[in-house]
Amino acid sequence: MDGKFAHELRAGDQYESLEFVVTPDLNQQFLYSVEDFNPLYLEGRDGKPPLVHPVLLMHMSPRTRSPSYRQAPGMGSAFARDKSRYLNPGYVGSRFHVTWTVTDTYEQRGKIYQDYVALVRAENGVDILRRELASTFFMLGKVKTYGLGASK
Amino acid sequence: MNAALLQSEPGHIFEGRARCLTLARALALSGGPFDAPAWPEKNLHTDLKAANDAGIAAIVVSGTQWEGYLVGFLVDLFGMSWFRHGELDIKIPRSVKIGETVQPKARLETREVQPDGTWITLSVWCENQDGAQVLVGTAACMLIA
Repeated sequence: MDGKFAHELRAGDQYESLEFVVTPDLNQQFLYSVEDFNPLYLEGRDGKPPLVHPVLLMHMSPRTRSPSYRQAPGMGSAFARDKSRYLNPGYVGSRFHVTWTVTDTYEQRGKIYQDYVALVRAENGVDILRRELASTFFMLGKVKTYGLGASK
Repeated sequence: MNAALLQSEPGHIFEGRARCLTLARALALSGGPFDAPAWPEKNLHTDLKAANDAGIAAIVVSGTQWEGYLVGFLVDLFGMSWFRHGELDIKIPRSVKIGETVQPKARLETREVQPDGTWITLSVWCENQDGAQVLVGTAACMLIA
């Protein structure tokens, strides 16, 4: 997918993956953002570190976080739908790996839609969060001129 | 709050805490790490010019922010079960501007006893200060016995 704009990717293509570490500071920044100070996210239990707040993992899992995400000039994108499955807790101090795989692209009512799966996995290989996301691309301020070449 | 989920009748509505989406909270979510050299990052969720360049008249709060309210609320309802068995399917029908207030809510739809626990489904939504829905969907989770 080198050099491709995001809307040009097809089913099976992947965005470049991302790794990140959740420090206590970063986790608490997101607790502040959503005003959720549940002790689960601040205190360890049973010898384990605090939990990463889900909103942090949600924030890191849209494809726009990928180092390879490139949006075409004059084009916008918007979130359309999210189906998330929470598979295991993530712990503060862990490194996480996010992958994005395009599952479908199609045109509908003048917009390009792109469906993709985001998978957040902890460094120990445990899957944490799986999201099926749908998003749209559109031209900013005028009728779309980018096309896929095939619609459904 | 697991007991409430197990004891309530279908149709019962649970309400999370209403929160005002301030600029400070939006910057915390969408501005990148506080200790980044150029914090906050400029994007349509944090910067008026970036929003204007994207054809939007005002900063638009990231939908992740109030989806985060909802998921935190679901953790309150389901406890640790949510982290292993939680499922959420949502759409965001309208945007939210800085200064609006958003509250997550859930209605108990079904409760089914299974060998490993109780499978619970909810209708979920977030509404703004005018009662308009800014997120709609369903949630489900197995409450382990």
